Amino acid sequence: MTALLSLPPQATAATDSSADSACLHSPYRLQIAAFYRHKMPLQELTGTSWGATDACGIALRFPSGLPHLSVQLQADIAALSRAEEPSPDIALVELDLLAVWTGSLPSDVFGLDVGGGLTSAMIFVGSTTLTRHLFAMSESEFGFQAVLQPFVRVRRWRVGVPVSFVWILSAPHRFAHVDAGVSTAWEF
Amino acid sequence: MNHKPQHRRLLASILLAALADANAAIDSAVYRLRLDASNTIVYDCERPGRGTRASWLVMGDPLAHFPHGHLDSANAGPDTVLGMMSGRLGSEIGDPLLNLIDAPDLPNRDHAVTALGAVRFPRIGLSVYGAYRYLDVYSDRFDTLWQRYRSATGHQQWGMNHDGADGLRDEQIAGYRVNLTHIRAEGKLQRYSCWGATPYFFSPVRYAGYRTSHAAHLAVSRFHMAVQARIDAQDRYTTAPKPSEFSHTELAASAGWSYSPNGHIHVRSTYDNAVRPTSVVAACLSDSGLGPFSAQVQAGVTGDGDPQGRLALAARLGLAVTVSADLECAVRPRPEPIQFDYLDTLVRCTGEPSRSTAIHLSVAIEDTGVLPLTARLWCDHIDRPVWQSIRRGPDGVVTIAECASPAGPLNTAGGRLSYHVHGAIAGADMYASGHITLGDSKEWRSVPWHAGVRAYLRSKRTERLRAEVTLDAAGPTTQRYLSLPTRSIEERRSPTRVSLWVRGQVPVVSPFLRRRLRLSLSAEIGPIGLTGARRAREHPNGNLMGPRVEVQGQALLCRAARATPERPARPAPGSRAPF
Repeated sequence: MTALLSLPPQATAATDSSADSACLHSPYRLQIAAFYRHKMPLQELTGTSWGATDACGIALRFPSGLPHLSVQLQADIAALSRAEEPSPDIALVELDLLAVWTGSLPSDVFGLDVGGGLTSAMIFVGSTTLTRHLFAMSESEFGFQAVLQPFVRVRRWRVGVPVSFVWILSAPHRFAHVDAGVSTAWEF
Repeated sequence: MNHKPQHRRLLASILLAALADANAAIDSAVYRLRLDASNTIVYDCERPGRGTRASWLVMGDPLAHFPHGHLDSANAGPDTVLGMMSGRLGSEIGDPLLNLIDAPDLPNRDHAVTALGAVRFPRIGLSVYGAYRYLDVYSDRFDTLWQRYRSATGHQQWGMNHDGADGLRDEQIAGYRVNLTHIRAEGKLQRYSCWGATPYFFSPVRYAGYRTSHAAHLAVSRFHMAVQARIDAQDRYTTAPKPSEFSHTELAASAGWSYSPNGHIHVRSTYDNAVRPTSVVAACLSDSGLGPFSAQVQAGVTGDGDPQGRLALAARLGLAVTVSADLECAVRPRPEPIQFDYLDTLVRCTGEPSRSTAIHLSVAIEDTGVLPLTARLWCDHIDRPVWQSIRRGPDGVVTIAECASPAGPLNTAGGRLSYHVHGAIAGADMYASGHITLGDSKEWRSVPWHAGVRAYLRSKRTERLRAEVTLDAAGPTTQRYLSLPTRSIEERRSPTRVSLWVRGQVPVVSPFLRRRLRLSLSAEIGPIGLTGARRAREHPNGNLMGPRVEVQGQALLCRAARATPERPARPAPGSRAPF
């Protein structure tokens, strides 16, 4: 049964090779983006009244070899503080791994990205020196993120307005925030 | 008659059988009792009661061969992989994160980082690799114990330093592999700093040092020879009041000769200074060319002059049914005596070499390819199963010792069933095993049943696009101790658990060297507990751990894309072994 259901190696090689050549001719190429986000923590979920903050980051988007699907790696950094009382200096770094589906309207100028994936939030409290134990000197936690981004494309240039929801699974209180911002990307 | 191909196949199968040990989770009765991210107890439900050294320090995971598991998975494809890099970042869900600012004493659930790089030179048969691993998930068990330790002893300077370098496991490894026509060799140098667990209390004990191991295998015509050496310069309890140093040396050498295509004889000698007696010499004769029968006879003697031996007979009935009988008379060596402090209590562990006789009978139905079903029934008898006794002396000193079972000989019977279906785009592995004790027998440690199913979807075009779900369940784990001098039996039990894992992998097209670089990203979430069971910190089943998330990136550098078809391979059983 196993032998009947499996593809022979030659057939698999052929399909894989055609997949690679499809990627080479895919309209979805490597993209490098810079973005700004305004992060608005949701107070009722976090247990503490964290103030809204601004974040800047960069993103790399790779084609996956599948139609309309790409993989995006992005990182941003923000300074976090309490909204109503003093708090120590907190650097919040979020690393995101997203699967993004891109749909285009017939005009090919306007489009929509819909994405979802994992977010790793890292915090550095106070002054931190960079050593080989950088990872050991921070606290981190995973969560999930959903993104919706309408965009305008002019040749290889893209400008988008991403709106995202981030849900970090920390305990006992979650850390969740809604983001809105602007991004600009260059498609290679 | 030229027997060279058969001999090479035989030697290759012996070697592959040894390498496949790490993946023997689904298709074997071995079950892993995971204390935390770093430490695991291996439980064999088919042959219970034989656990040598199972009652002593738990150090690491005997079934996890880092980084070889990663390297082998990368090399499982075409032979033209010239290099690989991978990195993994994981964290247990439920870390306090920002909550720590207001409540610094919250249990900390730290993260795990692994990184690996390897380069292969096919023309000269050489591979070199380097790896880094930092594991600190599920470590809040240690935090709790250290807090109790500090409050009981007043020793504030000892403990696990989460803000420094003391993860549950922190290690760097550099190694090589040589694969020539007649010679295979591998070796590594490792610096490590780890936290293990003590017997009974499962309290943390730190061990750190340097370890180097080398192995070589020579095969020429019908003759083969292997040597293996491992030296471990270890500091134990380096943050406890009574540190000690120990240089652990293990040596092994074997030589063999194939007198026929199915007959093989070899002699093996081992030396291990961590146990008494330290040395064993044994000879083994195996022959599978006796019609439907195969036999293996093994005889040896320890350095103290104690004989030991094993006789195994198997008969193949028809195409897929095998009946086996196994008689073993073994001397279980005594581990090096240890002592440690649990809170303010001095604990001594002692033991003596003991002899046991075991009989094992089994019937197996193998996967013939027509029906992908593997089934096995067995019954097992051992006259002196391993138990552990606890004696609390009037001076406050606790003595832990290995002893014979108070319930007498251990008789068990059980079965295992696994079914595999692998298609072009989907597949599944189902497995279940269980056993019962017969009569008044009682196991020292038992997991009565274990079952699960793993299903996956994958792309026809590339193996790098796949999604996988694993549902795994295990019965209640029981640990028994003989309490002295009352000779009462103390039981600890953790509940049944059902867990779910989800894993996905997507390919990524490289912006450069597209025909040579194969990139992929993967993520895994699990174990998601479905029974709502809480953590059981001081128990061999360890934490009933919360789910963790791991993200991994991998890059393979291949010689040329057209020459390297990426074959969807049947997944190695247990390569993603649930725990």
